[in-house]
Amino acid sequence: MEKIAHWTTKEDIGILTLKNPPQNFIKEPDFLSTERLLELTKDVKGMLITGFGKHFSAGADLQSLKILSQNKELLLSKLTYGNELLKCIEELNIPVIAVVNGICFGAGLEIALSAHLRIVAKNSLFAFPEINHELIPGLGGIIRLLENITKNEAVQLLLKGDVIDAEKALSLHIADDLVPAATLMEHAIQRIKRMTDCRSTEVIHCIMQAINNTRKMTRDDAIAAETRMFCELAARTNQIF
Amino acid sequence: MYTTIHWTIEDSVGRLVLTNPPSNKMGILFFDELSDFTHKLDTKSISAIVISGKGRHFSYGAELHELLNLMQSNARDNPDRNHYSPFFSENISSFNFFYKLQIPVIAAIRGVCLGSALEMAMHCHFRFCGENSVLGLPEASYNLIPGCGGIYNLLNLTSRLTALELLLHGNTFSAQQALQWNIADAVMPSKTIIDKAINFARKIATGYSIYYKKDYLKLLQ
Repeated sequence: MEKIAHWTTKEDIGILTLKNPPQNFIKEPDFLSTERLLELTKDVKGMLITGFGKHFSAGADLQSLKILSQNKELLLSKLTYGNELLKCIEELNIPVIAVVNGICFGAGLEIALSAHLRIVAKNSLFAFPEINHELIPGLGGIIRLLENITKNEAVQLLLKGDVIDAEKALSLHIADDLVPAATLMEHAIQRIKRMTDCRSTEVIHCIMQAINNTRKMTRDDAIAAETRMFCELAARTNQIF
Repeated sequence: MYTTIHWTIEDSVGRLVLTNPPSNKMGILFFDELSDFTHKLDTKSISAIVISGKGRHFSYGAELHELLNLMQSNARDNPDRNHYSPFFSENISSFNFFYKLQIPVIAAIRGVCLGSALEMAMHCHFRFCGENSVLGLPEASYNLIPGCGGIYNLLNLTSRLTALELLLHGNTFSAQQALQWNIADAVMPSKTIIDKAINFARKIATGYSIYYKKDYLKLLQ
């Protein structure tokens, strides 16, 4: 089965496009290998994840999922790879921004939540419709959702399968920035370039590593790691002040 | 007793003033004195701490050339990549001392508060900013990162988007922006900021718990 992830670069920013129009269904959870992702992102200073055309992604393709689920072991193995992929995206030490327009449902939303930030268009819609099919998000979406919003709000999304619009997503902190659809990509590139321009790759790596550490380390450990990275950069610097 | 910091107690409120004007830069002497101070301070005799800078500014931050020279000579002596200077880990302990206190610690920020100075202020429980104060973490523009808890604390105060931009772009920002981004807790005229901070500290000192931070801030309105 052909993969749906397409890679392009714009100067030193990588753009990962989910391309399976019109709705960019995710045919397989392991739509890209972690090895390939690390290879692709090696030489860029930031990454955008977006959907081809009018939508980000409508999520898993139920037809493919039904076929896949006939072989439990294969399904589990594919989901495990998919999980590893999203974990890998989340832990990249370059800024990763999901650029969302139109529909962002299910696995699509799980992918968007694995990015560090989400810049969304006014016309975007978010939901976890899995519950309507007696399923749950299977790629870490529940955990990542709870890192952003309260349990009460998460219940509405997960158990009722509510669809929310961009304004609501912004107010729930699922989205970080809301812009008109027409200028979405332009705006996202501007924002990520503002972060990465004039910055060395090593400084970007250190700052993003420190930011990623805040999610999984105790306060004391995360701060100690910050100091270690500061010292490494300081010992290497040739600048004269 | 110290040259770069000055400590007084008025009516049980301790006042720590950075005294290396005009810019109150933080060099090796400052960090050594701060470390000594935090080890010797008897916190039982005080009910709150207010930290400010002497003169017009809080502090321009670290004396980079001093610290980098120290750092580079340490690296030459000990090429082990995992080794990091005991000097810097002591600096974190000094800043953390304020964070971990069970009494209110307020940074009263006038003028400029950059780099390590903002890191120190973010270890405080409250940040009051003078109307014309200017804040920032410009480390990335020197090919460095904030290394004393600045990244961790910033992420805890503000949104991830704001934190990423401030850390990577390294731009300075105003007191009003700091308030909007939840980095500052209050903005007030610079002239009255020390008195207001001391009065506020007195009001909340009894039965203080950082858990009630939002409720305490209502007292300012």
